[in-house]
Order: sequence, then C-alpha cells, then structure tokens
Amino acid sequence: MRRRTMIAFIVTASFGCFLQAQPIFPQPLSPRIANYIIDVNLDVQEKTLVGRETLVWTNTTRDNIRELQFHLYLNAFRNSESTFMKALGGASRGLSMSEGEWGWTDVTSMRLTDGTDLLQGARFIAPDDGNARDMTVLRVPLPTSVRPGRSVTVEIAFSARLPKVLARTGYAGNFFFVGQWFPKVGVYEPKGMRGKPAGGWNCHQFHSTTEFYADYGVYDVSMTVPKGYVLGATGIQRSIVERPDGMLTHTYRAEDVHDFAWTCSPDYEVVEDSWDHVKIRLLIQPEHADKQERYLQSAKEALAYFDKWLGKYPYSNLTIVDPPLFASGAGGMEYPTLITGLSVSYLPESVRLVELVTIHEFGHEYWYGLVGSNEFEEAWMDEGLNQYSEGRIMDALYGTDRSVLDVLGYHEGDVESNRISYVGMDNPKIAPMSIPAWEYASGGYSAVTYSKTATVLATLERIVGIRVMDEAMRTYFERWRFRHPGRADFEAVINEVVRKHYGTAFGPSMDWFFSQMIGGTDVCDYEVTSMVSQPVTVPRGRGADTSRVEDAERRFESVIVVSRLGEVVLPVDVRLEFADGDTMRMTWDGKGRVLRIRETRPARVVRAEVDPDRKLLVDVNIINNARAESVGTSVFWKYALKTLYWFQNVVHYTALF
Amino acid sequence: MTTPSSPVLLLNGAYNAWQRRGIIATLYAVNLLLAVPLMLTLRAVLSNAVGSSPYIESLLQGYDHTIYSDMTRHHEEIYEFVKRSFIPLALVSLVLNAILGPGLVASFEGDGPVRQFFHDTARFFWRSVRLLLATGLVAAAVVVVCVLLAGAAWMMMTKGDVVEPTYLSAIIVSIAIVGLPLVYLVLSAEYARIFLVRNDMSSSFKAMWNGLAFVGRHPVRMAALHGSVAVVLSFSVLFYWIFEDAVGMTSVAGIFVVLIFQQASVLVKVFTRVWNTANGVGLVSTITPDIPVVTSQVPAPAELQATLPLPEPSAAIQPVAGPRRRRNVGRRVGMRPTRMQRRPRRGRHK
Repeated sequence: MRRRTMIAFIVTASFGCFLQAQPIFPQPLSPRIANYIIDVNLDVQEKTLVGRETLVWTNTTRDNIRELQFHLYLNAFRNSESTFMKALGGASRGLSMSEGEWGWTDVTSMRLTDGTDLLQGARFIAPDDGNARDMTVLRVPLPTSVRPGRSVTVEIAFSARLPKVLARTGYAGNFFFVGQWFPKVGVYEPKGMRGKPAGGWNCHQFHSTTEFYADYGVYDVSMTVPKGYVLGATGIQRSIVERPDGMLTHTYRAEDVHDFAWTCSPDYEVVEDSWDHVKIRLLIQPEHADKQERYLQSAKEALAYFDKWLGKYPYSNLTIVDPPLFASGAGGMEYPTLITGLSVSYLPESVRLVELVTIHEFGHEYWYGLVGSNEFEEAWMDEGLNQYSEGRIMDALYGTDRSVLDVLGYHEGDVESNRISYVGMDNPKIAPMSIPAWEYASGGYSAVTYSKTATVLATLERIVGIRVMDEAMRTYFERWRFRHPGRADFEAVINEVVRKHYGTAFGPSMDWFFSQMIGGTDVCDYEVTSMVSQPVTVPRGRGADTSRVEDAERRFESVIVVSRLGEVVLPVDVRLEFADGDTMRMTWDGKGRVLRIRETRPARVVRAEVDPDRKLLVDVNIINNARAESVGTSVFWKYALKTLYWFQNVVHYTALF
Repeated sequence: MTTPSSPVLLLNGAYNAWQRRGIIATLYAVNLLLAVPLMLTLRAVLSNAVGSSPYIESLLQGYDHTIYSDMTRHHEEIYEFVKRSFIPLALVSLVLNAILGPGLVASFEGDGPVRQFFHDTARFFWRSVRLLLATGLVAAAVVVVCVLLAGAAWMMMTKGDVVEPTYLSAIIVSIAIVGLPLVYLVLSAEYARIFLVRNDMSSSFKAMWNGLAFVGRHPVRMAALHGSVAVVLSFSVLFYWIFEDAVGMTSVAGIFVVLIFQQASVLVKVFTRVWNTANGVGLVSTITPDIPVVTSQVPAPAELQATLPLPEPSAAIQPVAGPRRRRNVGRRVGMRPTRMQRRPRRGRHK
C-alpha cells in the first residue's frame, strides 16, 4: 500500500512538474529578471517554513555585477532591535507582539550551481539607517561578476518562522498569510534608471512605513501544507499532490510578476466567480460569508473600470483573501494576482469598508503590480496614484458625496475624504510627497503619500480636464507597465499629453505644478477677503462734469479683494455675481498676494467666489472661498437647535437619573 | 395582602405621573431654561465665525462633509464652545439632581402640588447630596472591580482565538459584567431616594443599602417596571430621529416643525422619568405598605385624614421608631410611619 502510494505520488508529482513548466503567456510580458523555483513546507504547529529556492537572476544592464543583495523581510519581526520594530514601537493596527510570536528567516545555505558557497562572504547591511542589529538586507559577494546579458543561478536553503500577524504577514490561530517570506533579490538599477546618478543595488531595509520593490520574473512555487487546509496563492494553480505523509503539495506558477504570496487556513470558504477573462476566487471567513457578494461585485467593478480606463488586466485570475478581523494586520494588502480585503461581521452596506478595501487593493494590481514603481523611495507613485484611482471608482460607483460612508445622515465621499485627510492634518507641511517612505515623521506617511497625492492628482485632473488626465494616465500605464518608472517619468508623460492638447497654455511644462505639489510642502489657500459696493460718487462742485450725474446716481462701484494666504501659487478663477443677476468671471494667475477688483455697474455685487468650480481641491479652506452680501440664517438656527436637543439631553439624563 | 401586578402598577404609575403635570412642566421648564441660553450663544458663535460665507448654506440642505469639516477645523471656537458647555452643564445638572430628585419622590406622597414639590426639594437637599455622593462612591468601586473582572473574562475568552464570534461573545459578557451591576446600582439609587424621602431617613448610606437590598429582592419587578419605561423611552427617541430625518430641517417651516416635535420629545422624556419614579414609589408602597394597622383601620376619606391628627405608631413598632437607631431599614420599612403621616408634626426632629 505504501509503495503504491509512493508510485502514485511520483507519477502525479512528475505530471505536476510537467504542467508547472508550461508557460502561461505565449510571449513574456516583462523582462523576467528574477525567476524563482521554490519548494516550501509549512509546519502549522510550529508556524515554521522550511524551503529550498532556486533563483535565476539575469543582468539586463550594461554593468558587471559583483554582488547580489537579498531582502530577508521576516527578520523585521526577529526582535525589538530591528529597524521595523523600533519604528513601529511594538504595535501596528492595534496588534502587538509578545514572546513566542517573533518571526525570522535564516538562510541555511546559499550556493552557486557549481557548489560555491556564497554564505561565507555574506554580511547583513543597513543601507538606510546603519542599524547593525537589523537583518533585513543580506549582501552576498559573488566569486565572479555577472556580465551584461548573463544570468546567475543561486541555490538557497532557508528556514523561517512566521510572526503572529502584526503587519501584512504571519499567523493568527489557524490562519496563515505568508508574504515576504523567501529570500528575495533586490533590484539592480543602472545609471540613469529612475534618475540614479550611478548604478547600484536598490535593496532597502524593511521599515514600518515602507513596502516593496522587486524585479519581474517567473515563479514556480510548491507549497506543502496539511490536508484540510484551503490554499490560495499568487499565480495559477498547476497541481495538488497528496504526499505519502498525508500532506498536500500545491503547485502554482506565476509569470511576469514581482512577488509571490500565499495563504492557507482550514476555515476558508471558497467562492468562485468570473469577470470577462478573469477567474475570481474568494477565500472568505465563515463569519463573513454574507459579504461575499460585496467582495465579488466590487472586484468586478474595479476590473471593469481599470480595463476601460487604463487597459487590460493581463492575468487570468484574481484571488481575494478575507482575513479574520483579529488578523486584520494581514488585511488590505496587495500582491500580484492576490489581494487581501477587510471585513467585519454585521457591517452595514452603507459602510463601504469591504468595497473600498477591495477596490483599493485591486488598484494595486495596476499601480505596483503592472507599473512597478519603487515603494520604498517613491511611495506616492503607487499608493498615491492608487488612492486617486480608488477615489474615482468609489465616487463613480456609489456617489461623490457618500461613496465611503452613508450612515444616519452622515456621509462622506472618497475624493473628499482624501482631501480632508490631507488638509485636516495637524501639519500639512510636514513633508513633501517625494521623500522616501521611511523618512516621514510619525503620522505623515499615510496622509501625505495616500491622501495628499490623491488630492493633488484630483486637482490636476480638474485643471487640465478629465479627458486629458485620462489620456495621460493611460499613456503612463501603457508606457511603463512591467517597468520601474520614477517621478520624472510620470511628470514627463503628463507634460507630453498636456502639451499635446493645450500647447503652451499652461506654460512650457507643468513643472510649476509638480515642483510645488510633489516636491514642496507649502499649502494652497485662497480667500475672498472683502466685498464692498457703494453708489458711485456724484461729481459735485465747480467745474465738475455733471453731464453724467443721472447715470452715476444709478451705478455702484464694487471693490472685491481676493487674497492668496498660502504659499502655493496656482491659477484660479474668480466669479462675481451682481444684484441684477449679471455675473462676471476672470482668471487670476495667483502670483501676487492680493487681487483687487474694481467694477462699476448698475447693480451691487452680491456674491464673490474664488475657485467657484472647486478645481483646487488642495485649497486647505473652502469656507473662505466665497463671500455674500447676505447669508441665510436658517442654517445657524438648524444647528443651534440640533445642539439644543443635546444640551437638553445632558440636563435631562444628568439631573434626573 | 396581594401586591398588584406589574401592568397594573405601570398603569397606576402612568396615571399618577399624568396627575403631576405641573411638576412635569416645572422640570421641563428648568431643562429649557438651562439649555436655551447655551443654544442662543452657540447660534451667535456660528454666525460670527462663518456668517459671511454662503457655502455654509449648503449645510441647510443636509450634511456636507467638506464644508462641515472645513468649518469646524478653521473655526475651532464652534466646537470649543460646545465642548466647554457640556461639563459645566453636567455639573449644574448634577446639583439639580440632588435638588429635584427628592421633590419628585415626595410629590407622590400627596397630590403633588408644585409648591409642595419645591418645599420638599429644599428639605431633602443635603441628604440627597449625600446620597448622590454615596452612589458615586459605590459606583466608582463597582466600576473598578467590574472592569477588572471584565478584563479577566475577556482575556480568558479570547485567548488564542481570532474569529469574531468569540470576540462578540466576549464583548457581550464584558458589557454584562460592567453594565448589569451599574444598572443595578442606578436602580438602587432610585429606590434609596424613595426610602430616604418616604421614611425621612437621615442616613444616606442606610438609604443606599436599603435601595440595594430592595432591588436585589425584586429583580423581576424591576425588569418589568423599569424595563417597560426604558422601552417606551427608547421608542420615543427612535421615533424622534425618524421624524427629524423624514421632515428634514431644510427650510424655516421644517426647522419649526422639528423644533416643536423635538420639544415634545423632551417632554415625553420628562414624563417617562416621572412615570418611572411613580412606578418605584408604587412598588415600594405595595410591597412595604404604610403602617398596615393604620391603613386597614382608617378608611376615612383623604380630606378628613388631612384634618385629623394621625395616631401614634402602635406599641409594636415603638422600639424601632427612631430612624437613627434602626437596623436593616429595608426589611422593616413598612413598620415606620411615612412622611405624609407625620406631616402635621412638621420636621423630622419634632
């Protein structure tokens, strides 16, 4: 019996290997620089991984490469001395680590195919902060350099322990989310790439505010987990083989991706659906089963929107993982063809958490997955662009003023939520968008990287028009998919498309906008400072021209003062409304501090507005953008009376309990 | 003697509360007098802060997150005023609690004239303050102990688990561990006040103890009587919210209609509070009747009783007549003449 089982295993495994080698795409979509074959076993009791990895890395640059650098992300959870844990202060999203819950990766062997041991010369480095206790980047000198166009194959054996879920990866009960789990080679950037002055490895330490950056390639991964565990992973499932010891080996292949993550749990319920060419597989917690339609529908809406807006999602599958609430640190994450959502039992439909997270994370399939920006150094280029995309989709689907929340009269749209997150910061000048993610002071990272970027892009969209913005975004996506663009590449595309449509109407380029908004910290704030109308003074006295006295008596001179309170200079529209219903509109370049408008008309000015179409979402105070001769008082009564009710309740329940 | 059923007590309580419309109106007026000046000041603060911006008008049509958040962020004086108002308002209301509570209980001993109500509020003020402090002390101790217990229960229940049903159960258990004792304590304070007034007790701690004992002995009655009032109150609040949402406050007429309904809702709340007290007084009266001998032997009409000197307590109850010497007042509470019966003597030391 045992022998028969062994034969069956060998036959099935061989068939699996055959399938595994079958390509998914007829032609490579990406340069396929870093390619992995990984075989890993998960011990669900000990929370450990034991794996073997074969990396084939190709030098596509003109440089001779004398070393490799590897990310060992799990070492961020090794102890409290890592750069990650020090910055985090021991807790994230309300989760914290205690003894017995640490995680790590140990590379037990690293050899070239000829048997050369690479570990002997390997050293941990800390390129960002010099923390000698941080073990998240391993520098591995090579005995001979890898010449341009040549490849190097490295055989690696590693053992790892998953941390309790704190941030993105780990275990919680019998739920396992295995992300950033294998020794992963960094990105070698030649001179000129993303504005680099010299070639070198881009392999940063793992920080609490940073995410990832890697080269595209092919992943063939075999994961062995206990029978009864449902498994989901990046890529396409090629086989499931039962081993003689009763464990199951799941084999997946993913092409033209730059990361590989997987998850398993015996509790998952599996729901399958499809959109166009994409098979959607939802792994959902039983207690969230009633949310499956919300997950699937929002994923399909996102697929459709991105497909129409930017271009085709090239992969044939998408896996959505619903983690348990108390492993929420693993929720809201993106990996190629696999995203994690977030849900809570009894969540009403009007709180669109499931939809928002699903749409956001799917958006990363484009901004991170397909356009591989550097999340360490230019986080705004994936999180910010994605947040902008999320706002557009959410508002289009669920309403501009209630797409995020619509509960008991309180409602909030996604775009306006982004704006308020940015302008509502204690210090919106805390940092520019363009700095590396780990340099943000506490609290600044998400508001600047996500919210400010989204608001800046939404402002740009309103300045250049949505049609031009769409074309620019599509051009950027098409030009940079499966590549690693930098800030200059993004700006160049915007400049190109704006120039194509407007010539030099906005100047030779849009750099005036980018330098202030992406590279600067100043804020934008326009104000209608005053608005006065007075009857025109009738000429009197000896020698005065009294021929037009009758006319003058019927005319008013209005003086409107518009001020720029912030340092950011953006062109802005000013609109005046007169008592006879007439209106007047003009554009102010905003370069001065004050614009004084004098207008003599038969009617008084009754309303003045700066930025009447609300193009400048970056304006930190909308309230002072308008002034009117008379403002209805009903609204004050409304809120005063609402508060009266609360005052009365305080009195009632305190005085009479 | 058989005690009336809870529905009968509830109906009697509602009737008795309705009979004290003057007191209800007084309580409502006090409430309004405290809240209206704050409301008018807030209106002025709003007008001064953003009165020139027409964008504010969008808030009349409904909630506008952008305008609302910009307004509150750039004009912190609005929220500051509201925040600064609540604590003094709550403190003044606490003092009012000590003043109004005993008067309300006492009003159920007679016909409930407003003049008598004010007289009794003054008479019991200091004892009521002491009762309030005693309740506060006991509540603080109970909260500390219960929070510790709830924490321990939470840790035990959620250890090693990550799914929501477990945590939901733990939340329910934790809330029950903290909430039920607090409900018990609030009810006890209510009954302590009743005992304090009815028995003219001088010791607030004893009254508190009696309240605790009484509520502990009649949990089903408590749930039926006070739970019913709580349900009515909850429905009235819910109904108000639905009404406000349906009418909206988007025009002068809408604001006026909601204002009328809002004040009606506050009146209903005051009524339910008076009703609640009426139920408590009714329950105490039926379970520990006022001097059984007297009530069974004097069927004279109320007007006549008021003109006649009441008999001295029987010999059987003489040894426990002095409130300060008594032990375990809760159990013997019915053996002592009530305040009404001793009223002709005027003053508890005569």
